[in-house]
Amino acid sequence: MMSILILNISKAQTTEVLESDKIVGVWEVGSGKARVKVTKYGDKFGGKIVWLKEPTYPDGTKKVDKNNPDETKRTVPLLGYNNLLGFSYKGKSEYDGGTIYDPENGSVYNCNIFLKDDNTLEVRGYIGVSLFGRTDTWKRVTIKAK
Amino acid sequence: MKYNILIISIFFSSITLAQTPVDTAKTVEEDFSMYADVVDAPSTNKSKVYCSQKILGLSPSKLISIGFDFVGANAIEVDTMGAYFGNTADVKYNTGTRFSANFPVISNTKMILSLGVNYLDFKYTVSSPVNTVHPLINALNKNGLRSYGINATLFKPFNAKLFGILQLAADHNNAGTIDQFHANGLKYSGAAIFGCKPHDRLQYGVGITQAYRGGGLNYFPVVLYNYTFKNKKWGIEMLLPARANVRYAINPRNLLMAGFELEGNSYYMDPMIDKYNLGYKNLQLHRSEIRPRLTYEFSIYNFIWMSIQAGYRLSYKYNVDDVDYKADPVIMNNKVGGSYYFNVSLNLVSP
Repeated sequence: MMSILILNISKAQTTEVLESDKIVGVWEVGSGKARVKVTKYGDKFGGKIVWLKEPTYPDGTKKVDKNNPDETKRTVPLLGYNNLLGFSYKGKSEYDGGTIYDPENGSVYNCNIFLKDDNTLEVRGYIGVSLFGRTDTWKRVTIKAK
Repeated sequence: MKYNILIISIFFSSITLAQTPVDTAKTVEEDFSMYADVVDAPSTNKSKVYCSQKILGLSPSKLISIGFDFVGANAIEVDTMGAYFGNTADVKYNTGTRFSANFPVISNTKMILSLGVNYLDFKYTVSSPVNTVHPLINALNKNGLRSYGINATLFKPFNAKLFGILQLAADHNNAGTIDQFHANGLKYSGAAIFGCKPHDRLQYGVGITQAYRGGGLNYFPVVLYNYTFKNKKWGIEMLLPARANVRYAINPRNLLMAGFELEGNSYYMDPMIDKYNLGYKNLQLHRSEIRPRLTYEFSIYNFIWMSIQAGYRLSYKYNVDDVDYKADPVIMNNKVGGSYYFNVSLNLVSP
């Protein structure tokens, strides 16, 4: 009886891990201007920009984080930039406690993510309380096999 | 035996965990070109992508704003009203308080719906008490003008380029105290705009509005035009006829603007009716003014911004009439002198 209980607990834990990892993958933001690769590090989730619709300035140079309030970071390339940080899975397809960075204005927002279905993320950036925020819908993309 | 099963269970759980298809955030040199070649990218299907409400470089919209208005010395030439002869009242200064809050109750890729409240008062300090005998001056000197209301704004993108904006507002405007509510003080306004956002630095639109900015109830066309030049330093923000600004960005958190705003409303003058036996039932003050101005907006800390504004107030209309008495609408044709003004506000701005 005890063995069955332990087996069930192990199975439940495994299922939860798999549920939480559904967020891992490559996602295209609502505007279609960027793709973000979400990964897991330790027990947290984060993401970085892996594709930009317009990756260069008109003069051909690569786009950098030039709106960052920290002047020392204004030469960091946007491609590869870690824009999602510190998300924990809280169950029921929700991830919270993280932040999202918007390179267009150099602002960091509190952020919650909801995995609406396997291919849809609802990413809500907000200030202080969730009421003052905006939800962007991201779609999963599949990398073509080489 | 039980312990053996426990160990086996943990062992198999560990294998399952190790096989979970997770990636790590360790910095590994990646070939980013592979992410350009994807299957069925949403951005290739225009119907799945919606334009956002803003353009690059646009001055931030205010979620919560509290401000203070100061208008320098000016004179009001009031018309004769019944037994009360017209004269000139010297106003030492005007002060005003402005508060607004907008809550984006629905804010996602497909729609942004904001509900808001606003409060605005405008007080008159008349320097020559003898002039306060006149009903209009008396009313202004006693309570000033006050406006408060609610509003709703819907931004609806139709696809990656086209969008619509619908705005509705209900305000109560009067010259009484805040607890004096009267149906004649209620004013309804609205606007509908159909627009296009060809790229991230331009949006424009046309529409129609019902508003009181001209003092009385007017219907007029409205033009929206927001543009940021390629250098991202300069821009234009227009919502004609309400306001227009040329914008210069010292940096994204420090903005200078030069432009104008058309402000106006219609106020139910309850003290003139309550105190004086003038024979009118629905006296309304139609106030409209143009404010050419310079504005400096900057971030104090993160999303808390300050706005400092200085300019000149030009009165366009300051008539009083009884809107229920249609035959001779204008009862008093008053004039208000121009004056410098400044405004300072503290704002929580939108992400």
